[in-house]
Amino acid sequence: MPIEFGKNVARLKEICTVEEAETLLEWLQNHPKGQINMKHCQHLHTAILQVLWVTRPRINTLPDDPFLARWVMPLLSNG
Amino acid sequence: MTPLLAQFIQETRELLEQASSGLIALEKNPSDRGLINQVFRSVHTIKGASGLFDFHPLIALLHAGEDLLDQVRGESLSITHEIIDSLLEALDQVASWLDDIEAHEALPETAERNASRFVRQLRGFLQPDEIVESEQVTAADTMSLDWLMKFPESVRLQAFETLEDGESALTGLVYTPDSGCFYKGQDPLYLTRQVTDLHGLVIEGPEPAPGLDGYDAYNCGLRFYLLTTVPRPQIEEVFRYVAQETVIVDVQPTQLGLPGRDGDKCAVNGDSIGEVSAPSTNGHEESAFRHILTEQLRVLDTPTDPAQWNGRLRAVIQTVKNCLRALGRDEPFAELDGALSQTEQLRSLKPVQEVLQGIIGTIGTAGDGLSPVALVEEVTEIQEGVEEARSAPDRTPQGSAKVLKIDQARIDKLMDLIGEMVVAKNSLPYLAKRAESVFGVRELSREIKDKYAVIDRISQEMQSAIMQVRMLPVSNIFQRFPRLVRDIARKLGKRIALRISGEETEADKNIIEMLSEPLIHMVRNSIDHGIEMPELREELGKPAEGTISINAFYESDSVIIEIADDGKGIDPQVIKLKAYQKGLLSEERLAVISDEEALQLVFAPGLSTAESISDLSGRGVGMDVVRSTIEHIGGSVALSSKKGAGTTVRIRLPLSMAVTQVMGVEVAGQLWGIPMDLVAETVRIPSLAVFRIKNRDVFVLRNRIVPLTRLTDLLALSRTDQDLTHNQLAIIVVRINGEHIGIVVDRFWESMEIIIKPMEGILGGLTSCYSGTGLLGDGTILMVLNIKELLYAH
Repeated sequence: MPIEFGKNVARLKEICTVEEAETLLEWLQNHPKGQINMKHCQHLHTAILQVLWVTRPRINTLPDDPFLARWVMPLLSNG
Repeated sequence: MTPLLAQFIQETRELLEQASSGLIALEKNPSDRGLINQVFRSVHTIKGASGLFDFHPLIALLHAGEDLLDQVRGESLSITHEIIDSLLEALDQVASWLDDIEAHEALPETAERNASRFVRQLRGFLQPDEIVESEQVTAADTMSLDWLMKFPESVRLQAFETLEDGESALTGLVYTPDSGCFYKGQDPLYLTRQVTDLHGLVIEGPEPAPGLDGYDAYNCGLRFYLLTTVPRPQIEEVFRYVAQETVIVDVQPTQLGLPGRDGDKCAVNGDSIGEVSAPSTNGHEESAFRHILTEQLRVLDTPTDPAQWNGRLRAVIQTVKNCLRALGRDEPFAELDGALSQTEQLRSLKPVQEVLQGIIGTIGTAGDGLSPVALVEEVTEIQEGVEEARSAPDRTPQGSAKVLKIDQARIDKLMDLIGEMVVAKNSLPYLAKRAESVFGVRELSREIKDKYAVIDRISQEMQSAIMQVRMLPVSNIFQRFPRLVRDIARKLGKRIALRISGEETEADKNIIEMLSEPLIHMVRNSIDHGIEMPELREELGKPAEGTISINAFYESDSVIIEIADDGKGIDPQVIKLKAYQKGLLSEERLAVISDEEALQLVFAPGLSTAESISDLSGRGVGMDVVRSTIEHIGGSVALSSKKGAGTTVRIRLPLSMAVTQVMGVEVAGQLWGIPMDLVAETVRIPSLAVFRIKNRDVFVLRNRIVPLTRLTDLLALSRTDQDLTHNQLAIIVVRINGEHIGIVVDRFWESMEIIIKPMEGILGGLTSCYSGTGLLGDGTILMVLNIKELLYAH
């Protein structure tokens, strides 16, 4: 499972595929204060990006992946 | 296929033809403004009409061509051979796409790539100072370049600096994935990752809405904006599967909207930098808002059910507020709210109307109240395109009358029907005869004959009318020649003038269609082997520019087409030698053959006179095919040539292949037909006048020895002795390739006009014996002999 759901944190790991989008969305709906750890995420499918886009959870650890860190994360920031 | 698409294909083909011929004419008279306008209009019309369909590469290519022609028209660019070459190639591409559209109703997969290649090529000719403008025009077709402002200033600044080194070009891309793209296994973000040298990425999506219930995670609502220095072809490659969802533009430094960097455009764009977040407006938008607000006043004026007043009023106020918000003005909000409550109290619309009018007065009057904007213009353009496409046939010289376009199959059907009718009609005389002889009613018989005469007249007129429908002018083939001659001549480095006359000469459609290949082949031959190189021609004292003339005209009931060149001609000695070497000519023949006869040997299979095989002609498969094709449609071909002065090929064709005159002959109690055009004469000679030379029967006709053969022998029928009993032989003299041959038959019949149908099915293999069958009036089937083949076989 590329997404590990903890009590308050969901860890996105490696390559998160389109199948996980629904699960993540549900989790975020049930955990409105839930945070996302993206450290080991190498790529996330557009559908997951869109879930994050719509729900705007707090991202507590930025990904190591340069593309995601450089281009995608700024777009998801809350400010 | 929808009728609209079918019409588009047909009309576009005509327009392409016009544009190509215009371009070729333009090459000779580069300053002819009429020609430039004609070509421009053709291309413009095609582009306009293709806007009705979803063929993006087609439109993109035509747009580039149109821009280029527009510069030529505006005299900021002078036309060159290279430009004409490129334009012609581009038009060829469009023509080949049309074939694809006709076959599959879609463009081939390679279309996108080919289109961008052509677009780059064509744009390469554009004057540099106008490229920016035309790029903006391109982009405006789909979207304005305002979206560049979505990138933060730092990104644009960095991109600008990259551009300043002059080595890399900046490309922008807007990618709006289909909302169902996740179901197609697409991952837009992954595609975006594939773009390496990324300079900017902006993603737009739905409003953030935390905890939204029932949100569909699989409905893609994101849009990607990219800025990159990766060359455009690579980007197109990455996004090739979603090409319809992307807009790719070349971004010029001036379009990055950076203040203080060169040019007016920057200054204009620069204004908006400080307020990227605030909506910016322009004259068009303001006039659109004015339009909307004026409409609201009209809405208020429209009477309605009193129960609906409240809702309507609120809707109007809301609309006005939205407009104001979009304009970045919110000061009249309080005023509006006040007017609203006043109106409700007074039950009168006046307060709201007054406030509204006040607001309208404060909105800028730029744009002069025209309604929005680009969409309308685009629609108008398409409409114009359609109008022009519709009126296009009127501009062509031959089509002032009303023209119907009819499927060929229907004409063929008519042709078949009239053929059957002629046959049915011919049974009436038999009926009349029966009425008299069997039933003894002479009066009825006479009446039937009367009616027969009437029907006969009408059916003959009908037949000739249908023939007329099938007639096509030879210009159908000739119009391809200017292009052909130009292309080949340029390729070979020769200078050739083409003279065409008699384009209006008409012949049956089938003949015209069959003729195009042989004619093209012969014209190629003339260019390739006939006309010499310019330097050589000058040495020989000829004008450096060679001439090929193609001439069509009527001669009695035939159509003659002559193709003549003033090139080096053909040396009969060379032909003789070649033919001898290849075993086409025996040693005895070689000694006696005349130059004239030797020249006809170029039509023999397997004789090529070209010294080297070029990719154009000279493989030795050509002229014999030319001859057999022409003979197949009932024509003949002859060649005359004078060494050093040129060659003329003369093709004689029947006007129509529908009705053939045949001579009826009887042999062994059966009736056969012999095509009349072969028959030279019929004679009766005493059987004693037949001599034998070596192994052959011959007879003397007007001091010439004519070889004699028997039809019974040719057809392997048992010989009857009828001829001997009368001591007279009935002989048909046929002329084949200038030689006379006598054929002994039992009895002559009259000549008849029949419609020859080709042999079909199992019988189709018998063409070496029969050229076809025809129906006689009494329903008998007449076998028409292929005399030429029969004689060769013996």
